[in-house]
Amino acid sequence: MVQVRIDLPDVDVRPDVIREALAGRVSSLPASVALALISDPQIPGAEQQSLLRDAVQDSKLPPHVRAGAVRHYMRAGVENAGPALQKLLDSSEDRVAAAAALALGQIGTAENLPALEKAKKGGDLLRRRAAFAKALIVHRLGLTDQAADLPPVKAQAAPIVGGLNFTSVAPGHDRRTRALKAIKREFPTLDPANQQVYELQCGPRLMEIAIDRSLVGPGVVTLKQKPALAGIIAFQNIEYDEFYPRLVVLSHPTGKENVKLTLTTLTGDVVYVGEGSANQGGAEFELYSAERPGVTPIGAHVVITPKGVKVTGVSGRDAAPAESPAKLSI
Amino acid sequence: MPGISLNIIRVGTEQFTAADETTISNAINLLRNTYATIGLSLRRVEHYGIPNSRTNGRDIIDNDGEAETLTDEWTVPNNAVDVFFVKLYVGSVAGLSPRPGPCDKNAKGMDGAVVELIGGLTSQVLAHEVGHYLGLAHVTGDSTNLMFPSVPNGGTLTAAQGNIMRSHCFVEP
Repeated sequence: MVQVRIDLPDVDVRPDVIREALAGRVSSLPASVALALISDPQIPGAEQQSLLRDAVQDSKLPPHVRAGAVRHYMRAGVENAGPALQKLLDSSEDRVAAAAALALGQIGTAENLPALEKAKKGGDLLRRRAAFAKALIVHRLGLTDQAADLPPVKAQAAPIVGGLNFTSVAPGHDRRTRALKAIKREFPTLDPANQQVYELQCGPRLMEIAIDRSLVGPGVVTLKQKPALAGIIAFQNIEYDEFYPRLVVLSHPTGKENVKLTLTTLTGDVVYVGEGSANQGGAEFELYSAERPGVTPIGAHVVITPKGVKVTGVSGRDAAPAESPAKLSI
Repeated sequence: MPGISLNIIRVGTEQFTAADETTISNAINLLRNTYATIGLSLRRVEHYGIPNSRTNGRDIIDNDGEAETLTDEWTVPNNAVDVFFVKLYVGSVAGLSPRPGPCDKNAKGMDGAVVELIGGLTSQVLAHEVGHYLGLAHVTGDSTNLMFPSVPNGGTLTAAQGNIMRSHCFVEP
């Protein structure tokens, strides 16, 4: 995948110009570029936070600009961002409220759960994002007294013919470090020092799987005791040799030693599902793709032992049929 | 002259204003004129839309993974390049495409180009991303070239780049 970036000459990064550009009043500076420029080192840190706070709260800005500002706000490491994000759940703009819900899922605490529960009565997008955000908080914090409503999904039944095999290995220090840095950007509360990283190469796709150290070895038994954000998977962009977090692994006890795994995108779409068991000696899971447009079928086996984690499996070459957009007469 | 066809897909149809439609139209014209300079014509341009209620929030693309998911979930079943226009691509990125793009759009991986509606710059972003789909790599040493890694740039293509583009399996004789 190859990106193109915007690099405008003679950009004026004064805060007052940025504010005008966000409102769409500077023709030479598109709002999305203005948003990205807020983190420019020429703008003092306090001013950056002020610009972002104002942008997310300004109901006169176009909804997509505000929703984009929410993502920047979440990543900017603003202290006490939680209350401002929670307030946005009441926004009349579904996209703004949904972006705030998603951000709360990544940085929020148990205190945000009642507001997210209430937001599940909002618009369609907000309802889905709030449910996922709640599930993410419950799993991140290992809360046993809260329900996490992940949508029910069917596993793909299609057999995998002529697929690509994969087996996990240990990555080099450089890839481990860069993958964890990318993950940390999306999940600021994650401590890279507490992560074990495993690497999967499947065809041209390289993935780094970060797993909380406490879930490997004797700690594996906690998988049957409480929900957990068991892992985060970052994909490599081959062109730039950069990583971007793509999937989260949520584990949830379902009775006795049984544990369910749900792998979702960062927006909460379930991509893979698995079942297995965990006890003092280790854990073992079978994973399959969810029945969903565009998802490639896989079959994977995950084993956690005191020595570490091993993932093996096979991936299909074709994805489940995608949906077709409606034709317009223009 | 050999040619390619495009499927222009609006992500969040209801949000596209008359000004946005003009931007898209200008972008298509720039692509047509630029590609003509290396002997590649633009044939069919079909227009599609994903309504707000079905976008799942992907009218705002937050990262490369989300762009890839968008193209995985939606495809026009024909031999044209799928181009998804979105209202915002968070950060300084304005477009993303596989290189080269697949001919089997149900194959695993990204199978369309994603382009941010970004005013006058949209034209170069569209031509640049479709260039990637047709197999072009970035040209880092020449800011006059359309495939320079950032826009705005000089917007030109070379004969050698034309040879690469015309060899893509979506090109019709």
